[in-house]
Amino acid sequence: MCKILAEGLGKQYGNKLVLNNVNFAVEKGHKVSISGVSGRGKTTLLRIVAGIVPPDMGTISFDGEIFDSHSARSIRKQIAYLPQGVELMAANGKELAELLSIDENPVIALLNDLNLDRSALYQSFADLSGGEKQRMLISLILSLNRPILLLDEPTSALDEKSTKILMDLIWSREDLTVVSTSHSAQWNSKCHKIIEL
Amino acid sequence: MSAAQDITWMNLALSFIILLLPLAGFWYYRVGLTRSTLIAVTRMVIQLLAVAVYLEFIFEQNNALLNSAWVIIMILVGVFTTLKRSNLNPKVLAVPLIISGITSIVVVDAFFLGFIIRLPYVFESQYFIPISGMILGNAMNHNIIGLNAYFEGLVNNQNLYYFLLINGKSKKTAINPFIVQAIRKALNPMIANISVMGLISLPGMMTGQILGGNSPATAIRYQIMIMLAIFTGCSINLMLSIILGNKSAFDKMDRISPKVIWKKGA
Repeated sequence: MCKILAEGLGKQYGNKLVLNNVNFAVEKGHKVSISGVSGRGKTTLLRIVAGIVPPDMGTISFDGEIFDSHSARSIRKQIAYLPQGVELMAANGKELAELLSIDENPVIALLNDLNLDRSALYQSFADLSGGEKQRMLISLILSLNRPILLLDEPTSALDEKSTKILMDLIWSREDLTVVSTSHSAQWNSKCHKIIEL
Repeated sequence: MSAAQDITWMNLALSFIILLLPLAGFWYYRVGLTRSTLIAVTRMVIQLLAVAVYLEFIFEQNNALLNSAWVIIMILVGVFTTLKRSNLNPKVLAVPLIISGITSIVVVDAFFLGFIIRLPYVFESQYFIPISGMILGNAMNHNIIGLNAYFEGLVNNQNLYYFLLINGKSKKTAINPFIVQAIRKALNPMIANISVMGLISLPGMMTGQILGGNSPATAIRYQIMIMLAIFTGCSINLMLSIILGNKSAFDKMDRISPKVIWKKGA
């Protein structure tokens, strides 16, 4: 059985049809990228998969269970989600980790894996670069150890070298299922599947 | 202490002359506020004249139902002004805000009029209407700031809400940073105002009581009581509005309803 199955997904904003009859399946452990030019609905599709945006048509299911109000709580427990451009109301990574009830040691280990020093956890977000902030957020959600990762433009602020380090870390987790949106050819080239919009 | 010197209608009419000073300034700097100032002042005069006539009538009747009806009207006007000014959808939030307004007035009036002042008749017009009015007027101003900060914050910064919600927190925890920010924004100015009361601001009720011939000691006791009533009333009203508003601002999957913001989502 597929880990994630999308059937006949459609979404319209006003008169604009953003998604029309989108179907795809993601196997357990596969890394998948939603690709397409800007404005084609990549983020909308990822937000539907995350249960943030209700589709106007179709369904999304996880392990055969349709994602709706009855299953939302249990399905969300399997997902870790990285949105684009989170405006953080926390002062630094440590505060955000506390907000998410995450122990700091695994976060520090992941920060090291992503080439960031542990001091970054205590540094004000205002003093971190875009790429450092992105790696901080990815370390936080990876430390949740959820089986499914939904990533919206995870490499948008990373250079080629940092992207490679992140990819090595994510691809080393063979059981981890990833659905992402990305413009990065480097990222997309290694994905098991590209969902073209 | 003697009662306040009466102002004749002629003298009151003359007092409008002083408006020429700010209006001249507006004209000089081309501020563009002349028309809205004149409309606001005209509205104020008409509204207060109408209210004076009506209040004379209800003060004479001193009837619990009439007085309560007047306070309900004040609550309704306050709620719809709040929703309009904070750009929120009346279809989603009017009922929660009306319930919050009524609850805060019942709690605060019952405590202060019944328990502290120990009025034999808590609906006594002389107390019930002005004190409820002061609480509601202040609550409206703080609700506009607080509710706007809360709901616009949630809609505009929904990535943070969903980041917390999906990555393991309950809806209650995920909305907490937004609630904290809204309450701080709304009530911080009032806390600052309370802390300098008597030093750089002489409050209206105290001034009114002194002008009305009461001793400063009585005026101060009333002022302290009314400040406690206003602060408690505003805080309860805002927090209840958020709690009750949340019931209709989210769907069954804890998603924020875009309809909560009037112009963007409707």
